[in-house]
Amino acid sequence: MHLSKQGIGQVLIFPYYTVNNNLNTIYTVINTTPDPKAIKVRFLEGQNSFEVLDFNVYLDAYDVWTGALGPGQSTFSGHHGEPTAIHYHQDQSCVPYLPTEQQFLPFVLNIEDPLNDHMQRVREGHIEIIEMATFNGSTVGWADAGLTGVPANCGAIEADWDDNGFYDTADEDLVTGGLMGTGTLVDVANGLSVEYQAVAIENFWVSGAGAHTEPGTLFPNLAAGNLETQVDIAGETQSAVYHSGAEALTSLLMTYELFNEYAIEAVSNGQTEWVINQPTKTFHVSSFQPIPPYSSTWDQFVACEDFTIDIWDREAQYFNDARLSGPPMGALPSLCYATNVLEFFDPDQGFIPGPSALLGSYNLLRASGYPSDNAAGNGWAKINFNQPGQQTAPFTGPSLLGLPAIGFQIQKITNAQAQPGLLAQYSRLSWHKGKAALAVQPKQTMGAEQ
Amino acid sequence: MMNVIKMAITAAALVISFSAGAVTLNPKGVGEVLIYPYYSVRNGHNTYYSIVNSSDQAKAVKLTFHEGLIGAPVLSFNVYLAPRDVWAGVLTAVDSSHAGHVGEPSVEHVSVDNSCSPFLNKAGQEFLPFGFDPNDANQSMERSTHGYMVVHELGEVSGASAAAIEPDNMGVPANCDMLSDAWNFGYWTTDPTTDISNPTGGLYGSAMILNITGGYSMGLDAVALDGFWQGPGMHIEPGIPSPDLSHAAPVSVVQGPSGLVSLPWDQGIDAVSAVLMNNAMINQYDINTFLAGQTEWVINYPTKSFYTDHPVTPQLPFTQTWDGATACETLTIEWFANNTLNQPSQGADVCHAVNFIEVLSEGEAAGNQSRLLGANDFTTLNTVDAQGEGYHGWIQATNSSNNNLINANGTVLAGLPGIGLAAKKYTNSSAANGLLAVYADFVKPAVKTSQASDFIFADGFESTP
Repeated sequence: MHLSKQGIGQVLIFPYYTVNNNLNTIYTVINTTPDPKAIKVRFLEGQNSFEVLDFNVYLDAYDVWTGALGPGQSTFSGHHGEPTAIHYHQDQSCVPYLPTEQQFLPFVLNIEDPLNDHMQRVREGHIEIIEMATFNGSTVGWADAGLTGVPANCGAIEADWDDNGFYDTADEDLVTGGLMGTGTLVDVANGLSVEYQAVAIENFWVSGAGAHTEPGTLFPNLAAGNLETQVDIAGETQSAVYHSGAEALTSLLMTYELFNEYAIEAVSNGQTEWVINQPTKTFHVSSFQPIPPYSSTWDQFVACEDFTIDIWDREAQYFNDARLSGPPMGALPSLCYATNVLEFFDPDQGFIPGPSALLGSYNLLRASGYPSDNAAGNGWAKINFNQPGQQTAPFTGPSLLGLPAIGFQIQKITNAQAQPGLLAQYSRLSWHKGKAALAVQPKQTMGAEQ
Repeated sequence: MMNVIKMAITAAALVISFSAGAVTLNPKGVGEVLIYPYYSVRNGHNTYYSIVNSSDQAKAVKLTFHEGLIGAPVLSFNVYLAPRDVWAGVLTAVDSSHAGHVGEPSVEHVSVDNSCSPFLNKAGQEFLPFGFDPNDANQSMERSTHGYMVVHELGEVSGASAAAIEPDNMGVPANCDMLSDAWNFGYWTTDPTTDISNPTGGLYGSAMILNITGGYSMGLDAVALDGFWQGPGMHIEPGIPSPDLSHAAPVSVVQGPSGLVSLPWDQGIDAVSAVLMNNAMINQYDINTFLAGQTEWVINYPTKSFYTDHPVTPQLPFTQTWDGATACETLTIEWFANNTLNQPSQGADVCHAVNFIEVLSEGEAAGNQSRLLGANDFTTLNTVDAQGEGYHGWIQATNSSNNNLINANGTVLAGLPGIGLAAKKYTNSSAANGLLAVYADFVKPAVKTSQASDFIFADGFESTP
């Protein structure tokens, strides 16, 4: 499998959803092919990517599925009144058992993390969409929306699942890819939104043979794919084979250095937060022993990986007093969750304790940007995933350095006088840039060292 | 276990190695050349852009802004970045004060950045008409009010020149005058390679289209090319829009059916086009009246002028030459309402370097300008809300099968070298008093690519006298 440069594939990863801070998240997946498909749509909370909702969608040829997440209060036993997220949809596509309003579920959290199962956890995380099958029999007609836009017989698909966990119609065919997706974080009341294209993976399934499972199951997941990988580094394709599907997908996302910009000028109330999502981390840290490139295990609260950060202002001033605050950490800062938010703040202004100002994130680290009274109040930063052990361990092929990480920065500025008496807020999203790197080959003896 | 071992052996055999100096699209957005597919000062927009030198070496870079009709250069200057330095600038609307163009809508470039940029009037530099072909029908500076920008690394800077760029602890470079003097019949006029070594990449960038009074902004990331240079760059004086995209190494690495493949080309511009080639772009539209939705597409062809502007006969992948006003290719637009309703496709002409498609509702008439981006030359797509569910869905724009880029070995890349952006905007008219609740975004389209070996084409080329 490999990352799609085109944004189209068999698997889509949306690095961030949130319903914190008055934000809603709208997501869309498009079937750009003429083949009707079954897809698994799954939501994973941000601390250790435990599932909080999944369902199947049966997309007609060229069909779109759209859903939205908004804030709500849990009504589940043991979580009554806790803040949670609610999934809404009005789409006509067949989606067995999913009501138009469905709150996120506590069941996996209750089992995995009984000491840390507050539903606030589920209000930010990531989304994954996996193509499970195409069809060549009755299901094609059932999902066909014809000229009315309403599928012919969603009831027949649901009825097939009613009796047991097998799709007895058994008309599945090979997956054909061609999915694209976008996610939008929007604050309707305040006029703020940012939109991103989902990360797409091609050739996820070995020989196109998917796995069509019933709604509400943890499989297939991001670990279900091909062991063979192709990663492009500096214009060369590096092929490798991994021991597990999780490690294989991890290798596609490996990042040695991660760059982006920040802007925190006080005059425009500049805010910058970086989303750093590690969608496969949970497969590496949730057993007794960590699996490379990770070095710690999930203890119901954290699984931390150290990193270093370099921060420069716009005029190349190195901030050698960058303060970081966040979860308990040692000499170096660390990322402790699957979905992390790094908030930049002006050390002259400080920050308000609690969740982050822009995304309302609790999976939070804070870094002081360069003091704005001294220089530009904006610049860029580089995260280095260069700690010992932070490299993949392939069965064959080259090892890649760093950690898997995808995401973007979101910037917001506020103008109190956009028009006389009118306040306006401006936001933008910019993907992380960076570098992938091969593990250094054993050095050959050089003449100079003799 | 046998299977695993067999797979491993196959995988090991698949490791392909390419020499340096082959143009690639860097998936992590870092490179030697950056293409910002869109800037605009139309419709109340300003454009803010930044370039980051992520490397630990000082660098010389060339910025060239190209107007939107056929990509004529309208401003070009050099910036000398310290290690880890950023350059940022803003484009705003201005009335031209150039002789022969007085009062025409134009662009002013402003920067408050301290980095050295010899001869650039940072406080305000108007875009310039000198790059317009005198035979072009449209000679107005209005051409320059939207377009695209290309940034080239010219080389790494060392020695006394690097010391002059080094900022003090307030971020002010030591001696920018020294670099201006070097280009003013000084040491760079004599030998522009003094203190300059081969480019090594590490640039990245982003931009933002900002409507201050409208209360919205849209962000975009620069497209990064790596392996552009084969060895040395070209350290050419400020004001001259060279190097350009045709100076690329004539080799590119693109995604093939199974992993990356290296493709040789006769000319450098083909290597750049090759990494941008696609035969379809796909994106969503949403023009629901509920939130006053607007959707417009931008499609930039940053290499188009090299194929259409100079030759007597058009060069593939383009099929028309610039006649002083247009060089049109035809897209087939298919659109799908959200619940699959496939509507009759229609053609759309893309005649310029930067092109616009505005999505409208059934029967809605186009204005003189597109509503969101204020383009004065644009195509429209009237969609239908057949089910009364609202105007949203997705659009696929497919290139003609006549558009192909073919190398001497007979590899055919289908489509055109286009970079797309979909601009979407919403207005919440029921927001709180005193609040301007408008939101807008750019989002990249997904694209489809196609690569084939076409021996008929290859033979045809060989037999051409």
